Amino acid sequence: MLSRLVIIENIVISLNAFLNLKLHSGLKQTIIQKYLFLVIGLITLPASAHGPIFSPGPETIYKDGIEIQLEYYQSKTPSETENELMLGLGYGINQDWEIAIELPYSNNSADDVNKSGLDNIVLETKYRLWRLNAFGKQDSISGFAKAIIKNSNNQPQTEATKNTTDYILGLAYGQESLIWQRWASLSYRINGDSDLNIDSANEIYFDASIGWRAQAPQYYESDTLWMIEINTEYQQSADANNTSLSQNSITEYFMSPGVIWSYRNRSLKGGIQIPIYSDLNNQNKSDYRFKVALDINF
Amino acid sequence: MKKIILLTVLVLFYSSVNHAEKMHIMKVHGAVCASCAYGLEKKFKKFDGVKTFDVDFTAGTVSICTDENLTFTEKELSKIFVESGYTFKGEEVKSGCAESQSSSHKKSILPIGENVSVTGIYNGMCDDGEDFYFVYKSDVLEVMLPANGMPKNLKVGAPLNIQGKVIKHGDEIKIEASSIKIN
Repeated sequence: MLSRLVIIENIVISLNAFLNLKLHSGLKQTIIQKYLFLVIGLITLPASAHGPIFSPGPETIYKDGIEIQLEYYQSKTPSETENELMLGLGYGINQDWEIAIELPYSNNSADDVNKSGLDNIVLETKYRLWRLNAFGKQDSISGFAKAIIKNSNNQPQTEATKNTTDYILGLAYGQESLIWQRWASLSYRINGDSDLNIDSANEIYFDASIGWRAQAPQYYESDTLWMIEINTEYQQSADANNTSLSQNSITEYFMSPGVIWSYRNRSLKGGIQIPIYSDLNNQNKSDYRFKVALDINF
Repeated sequence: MKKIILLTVLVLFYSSVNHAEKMHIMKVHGAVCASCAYGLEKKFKKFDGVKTFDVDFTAGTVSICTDENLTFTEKELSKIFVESGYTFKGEEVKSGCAESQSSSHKKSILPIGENVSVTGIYNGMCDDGEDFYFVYKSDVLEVMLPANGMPKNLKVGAPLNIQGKVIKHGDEIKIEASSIKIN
């Protein structure tokens, strides 16, 4: 997430260059404060009990099922570190429709400034559009939507830019079998626009994952599933006064090994996102992102 | 080259069948992981009279042991499976639960990594070998042991006591025997 902090500097520079603005330093600071959260990072997509770790999967919880998740997430760049503890709650309205809320508390540090507090609250709904059950196999496709209600109180470099909301829309496909799992997802993030004539950059995510277990699971024994994900992130250029700030587009690819250990309705999963390709227009690339989550279904 | 002794268990596990119970074995499509199948357990255990619940993912079956007077309609079963995200493909009901429990549930009776003492009846032998394992399947215990590990004067029907450590070997739970004696 914090890898995107420096983008605002480029936006400001670009504004000066493209619009030939002579910004007062105070105004510049205001822009930084206002727009930082239009370009800050990825929301940490929730890790469901048996789906990919860093990307959305199609699975939904059973009817009247309750999912409680406690997740620790760390993101690090050369100059910034974010530590986040997230409580997630999900509910199965029916076997195909799930709603969820994420309440993250984070600590962010950058340039010797450290702040903690409630981070962006996420409301999510997911609907299973298609499902094919077969012997020892399940294929499914889900559509999902998220609203990310921003809260910047805990960011070290800015004051709050409140009352803006980002949205993520996407599709997720999964084929799960007793040994092999395959997932893929495509998401589009619509970042909330600012009030300073800058249309914030939207983002596109594409993810593909493979999971493998050594032997078929047994209900009363623990199950270990190994997985590898490829996560790609592309952030479009921001616009200022209808002028594209083309040098602000971002592309990052990650390879993300992970493991899920589960026993009946409990699972513990963890993984690390390692950047394998970056085109960040001279901005800091991610060192890594790490996530571990405890998930219980009732 | 292995020797395998089959022991009919008399004492330890399933010496009798409780005919006041019945086993419902339901075929299911789409069940591929335990955490997702928990929804089935939750829904079935809401019924009075449900005693045990198990899923055999490899066989594609859900097995529940219930009181003899508990029955499910096809409509009820379809609803339970649909609401859990699966497809119900039919039910078979058997009298008594002991012999019908799926292998994964029975395997949980033997604590992996612990030493146990098991008594049974020697039922037969085939081949010989180097492994020194004690395996049980269904109501039969299966032992593999080196040729020199066999008790002398062993005859079919002899009562045996086997002591050893429970280990997991491939897909099966086995007992690595440290001693085998004719009682």
